[in-house]
Amino acid sequence: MKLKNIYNSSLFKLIMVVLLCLFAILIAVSLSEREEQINFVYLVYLLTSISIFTIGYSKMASIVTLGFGITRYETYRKFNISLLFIILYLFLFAIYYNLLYYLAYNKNIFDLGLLILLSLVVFFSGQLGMMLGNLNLNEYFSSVFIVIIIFVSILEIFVFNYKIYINFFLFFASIILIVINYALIKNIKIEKFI
Amino acid sequence: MIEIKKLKIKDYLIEDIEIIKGEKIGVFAREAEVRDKFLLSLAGINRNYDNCFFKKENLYDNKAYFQNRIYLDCQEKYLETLNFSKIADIINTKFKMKIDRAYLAKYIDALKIRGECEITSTYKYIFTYIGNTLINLGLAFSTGKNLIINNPTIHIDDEHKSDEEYIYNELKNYTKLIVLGINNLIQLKDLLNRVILFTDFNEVIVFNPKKDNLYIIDNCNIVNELYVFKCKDERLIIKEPPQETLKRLRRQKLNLKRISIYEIEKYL
Repeated sequence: MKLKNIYNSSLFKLIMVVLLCLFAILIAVSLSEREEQINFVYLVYLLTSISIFTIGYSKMASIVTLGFGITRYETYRKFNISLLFIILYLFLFAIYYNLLYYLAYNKNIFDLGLLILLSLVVFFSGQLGMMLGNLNLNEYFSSVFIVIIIFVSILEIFVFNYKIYINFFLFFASIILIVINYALIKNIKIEKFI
Repeated sequence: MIEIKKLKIKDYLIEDIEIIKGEKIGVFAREAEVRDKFLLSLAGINRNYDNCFFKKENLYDNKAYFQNRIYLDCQEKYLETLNFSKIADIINTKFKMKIDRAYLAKYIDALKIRGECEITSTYKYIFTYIGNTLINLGLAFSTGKNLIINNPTIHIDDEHKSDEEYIYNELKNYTKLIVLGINNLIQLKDLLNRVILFTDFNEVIVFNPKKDNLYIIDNCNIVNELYVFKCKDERLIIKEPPQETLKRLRRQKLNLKRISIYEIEKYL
C-alpha cells in the first residue's frame, strides 16, 4: 500500500483525530492551574446531549433521506447503534480524563453514578429527539424540551443528589421511548402537528 | 409493479390502480395538499393501511422498494453545488446511491445551469428558482431509478422554452417509471400514458389522454355523475358522456365542447 493511500484513508484520519483529542485532553489537564475546576467531562456530556437530540430530530424528520431511499427503520437502527457507541466513547473519554486528573493532582474525582446519569441523559435526549422528529413537531417548540433536559441535568449535577432515582427514571423513560419510536416509524404520516 | 387498492387520501378513495414498469403517470388535483399526500403514500413515505403494494408487499418503508425509486419535490432545495463529482460523492456516501456523473455533467452544460446560480464567497451555490428545478430534475434523471417527482416543471415559464423542451424530451426518453405530481399540465402535453385526476367532487378518475375525452358544459343538473371540475366561469368539466346522453345534451342546446385534458387548467 502506498504512503499516499494510507494518508488518504478514512481509518488513518479517524485514528489521527482520536490521538489528537487524547493529546489535547492531556495538555488541558497539564496546563490547568485550578484543582477545583468544574469537571469539563460533564460539559462534554451535556453538549453531546444537545447534538444528539438535534441529530435525532433532523434525521427522522428528513423527507430528503426518505426520498433518496433510506427507510425510517434503517435510520432508527443506525441511529440507536451510533448512540450506544457514542455513549461508550464518552465513558472511555471520562475514564481517561479522570485518570489524567488523578495523576496530575492525586485526587479521585471519578463518580460512576453521575457518569451513568449523564450517559442516560445522552440516550434519553437522542430518543426524545427522534420521537419529536417522527411526530414532525415544530423545531422551535421541540427545542424547549432539550432546554428543560439540560436545565434539570445541571441542577442534578450541582444542586440535587437523587442520582439513583433519576437514573431509574431515565432508564425506563428511554426504554418507553424506544418502543414508542418503533411504533411510530411503523405507523407514520408526515404532517405538521404544531 | 405497484398496486393501489382502496387508498384513502383526505375525502378521496382511490379504488384500484395498477402501475406498470416504464409508464408515465401524472397526478393532478386542484388542492396541492391532496397531490402531495398521494405522492408521499405512493413513495412509501407516508403510512398506508395495506393499500399500496410493491411486488405484493406493502410499500411503506419497504427497503426493496426504496432502493428502486427516488422521490423528490422540485420546490425543495437539495443541492448547494454544481460540481457533479461532489454531488455524486455526497449522494453515494449519504444514501448509497450511484449517480451517472457523465450524464449529470452533460445535463448541467446543456441547460447552462451555471447561469442560474450565484456563487458566494464561501463557494456555496445559490440557485435561482428555475435553476433549482433544473438541477433537481437533472439529479433525478442521473440516478436511473423509477421517479416520483412533485412539481416537475415549477418555475419553468415561457421565457425558458428551450429548457422546457429539453426536460420534456428527457422525460419522454426516460425508460423507467415516472410519476409526476403535476403543477402545469400543458407543459406535459402528449407525454403521459395516464393521468390520475382528483376531481372537485371527491372522486378519483384514472384518465387515458389518448383514448378518453373531457367535455366542458354549461352549468346544469343533468349529468351529476359525470362531473369532474367546476370552472371559474360557472361551467363544468365532465367526463365523456355516453352517446345517448350526448345527444340529449345537444338537443337541450347546452353549450358542449370537447377539450383535451391538458387544457383544463385554463378553465379552472
